[in-house]
Amino acid sequence: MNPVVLIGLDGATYDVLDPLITDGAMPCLANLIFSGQRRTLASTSHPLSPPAWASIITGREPGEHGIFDFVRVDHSSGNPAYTLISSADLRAPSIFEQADRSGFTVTALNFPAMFPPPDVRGSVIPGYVPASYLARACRPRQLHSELVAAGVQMNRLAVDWELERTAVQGLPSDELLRWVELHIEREAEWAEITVQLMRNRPADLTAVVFDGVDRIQHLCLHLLRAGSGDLTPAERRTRARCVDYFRLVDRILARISAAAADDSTMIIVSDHGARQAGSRIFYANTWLERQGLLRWADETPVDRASRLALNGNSESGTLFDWSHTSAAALTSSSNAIIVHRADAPGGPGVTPEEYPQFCRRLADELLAARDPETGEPIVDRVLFGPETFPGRYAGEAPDLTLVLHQPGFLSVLRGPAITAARSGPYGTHHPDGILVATGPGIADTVLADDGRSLSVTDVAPAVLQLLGAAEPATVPAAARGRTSAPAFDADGQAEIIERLRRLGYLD
Amino acid sequence: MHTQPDQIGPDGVESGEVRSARARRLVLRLVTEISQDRDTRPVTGDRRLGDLGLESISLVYLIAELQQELALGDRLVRDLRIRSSVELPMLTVGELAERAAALSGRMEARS
Repeated sequence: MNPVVLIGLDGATYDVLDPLITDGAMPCLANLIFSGQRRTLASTSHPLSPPAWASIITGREPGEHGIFDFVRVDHSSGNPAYTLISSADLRAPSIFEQADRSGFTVTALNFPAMFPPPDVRGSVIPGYVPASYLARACRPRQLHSELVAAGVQMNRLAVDWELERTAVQGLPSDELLRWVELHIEREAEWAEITVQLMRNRPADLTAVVFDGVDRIQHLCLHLLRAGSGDLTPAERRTRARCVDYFRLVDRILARISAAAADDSTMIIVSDHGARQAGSRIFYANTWLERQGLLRWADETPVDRASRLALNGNSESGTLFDWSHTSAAALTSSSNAIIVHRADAPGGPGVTPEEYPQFCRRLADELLAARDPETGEPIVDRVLFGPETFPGRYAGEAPDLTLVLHQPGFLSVLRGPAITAARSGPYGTHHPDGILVATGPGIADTVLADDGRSLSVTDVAPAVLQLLGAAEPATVPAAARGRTSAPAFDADGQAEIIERLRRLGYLD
Repeated sequence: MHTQPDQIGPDGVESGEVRSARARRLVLRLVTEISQDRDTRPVTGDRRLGDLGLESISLVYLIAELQQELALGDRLVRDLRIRSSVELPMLTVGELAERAAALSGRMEARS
């Protein structure tokens, strides 16, 4: 048995990390890569944090663990409605519960769908917790007061959902710097908690998610990728702080590595990657309206700001007249269309008998749809719920998940047309995440097998095997037919090696 | 909270009334604990959850905790959606307690 440290970098992608490594901004990560495994980690079919992190900590696909989005859609009350997910929605055992059952102690920090926290030996602070609930969310309960007494600014960990919802729509360029600073502060606190717990409440399995990577990339990916000569002075300042953020992440990796026991195995993963979003957004509900499948509620305003969702906590279901709506997109994050299921024959919605044909026809029409401005397709692929997310909870999967031609999330709002120009540059998700692993025992796990692609479902079996809480995985996860790790090219690798030598990381 | 021996039937099972009473006390205790930093006035049944400083996201967490403590699965959130015509912050403490109590009292008896 070896202690395991699992570090999540939400949304981390080699496309961003490699240039930073080459520039010498992330020497610790570079060293971990050169001393261990560097692989591409394929995300869930729809690359989104809640389902992907759930797959990472359970080793199951979404259809088997029951998490598909930030929310769970409920059809039981007639009109489709949704509720924010909680740990009750995660219906497969996590590595934390499995390790606990095998007699190991755990630390689990900042994972989504972790409240109320599981009853495990160790320390748990769930992610996505509002300030008013943070103290109650910690397990054991005295952990919060212990950390406050130790100087941790716990209030910085809380998620301000109002700000999150506003920020994911895009912020004015003069507010981006504050956004980056916010995440520099938050990550510093998560790092402090992680290291303090490793010292004062050491666990056999320590796992923490740093989510600022994704949040910064959503708004600043274009800055990170731009040459400094292409930027305004203000943009250069923001870009410099983005790089500072990644330098901080690297120092955090070094601190955690130093705090870990010598025989520890360290695994760094991301739940998905990142890429620049397309220049157009898709008003999915406006398209559905024009297909005769949706009617807006009275006085639903027309969005003229290229926004994706409502600000505040208003539920998007209030936008529709459900008595004349057969299908609607409820959340931007899911890129999904939900079919309104009829309560009774003759009532509004789609009956079970009509459902298969309805979905097929809808998918065909989506695939045939063209952007009126550009003439381009709007949807490249339509993923059907039970087929794409097979498993015990397939029935809860979104009915249709769209893979948009212009990468990004759809808008649930009432648009002036079915598409519009995006209001500004925006980073979105890519299916390819990262995995970097180093330490004893890695070579004996599926993570070291170069012969096959790795997916988010491969992490949990490897963690449990390393801990000694499970037998080596004998059945590989479903092959995804994709190539594995994009290695550094030869020139890039030589440059990095030379730079690491100069920095003293390599002999 | 500890169940008294005379509240348990000969088969070692809590009665529905006992479970309901426990649910009411739990709602009052949790709301009091969560709101005490913002509002020091007594939490009474007629006070609206929103007036106690519990915004809708916190209420989602409160309901998740109640469902776990009372082993309700997702029944409470579904019940509130079906039966309540108002937004969560407009619910009173008493209304939430009664819904939790009603569901808890109807739960399969647990030993």
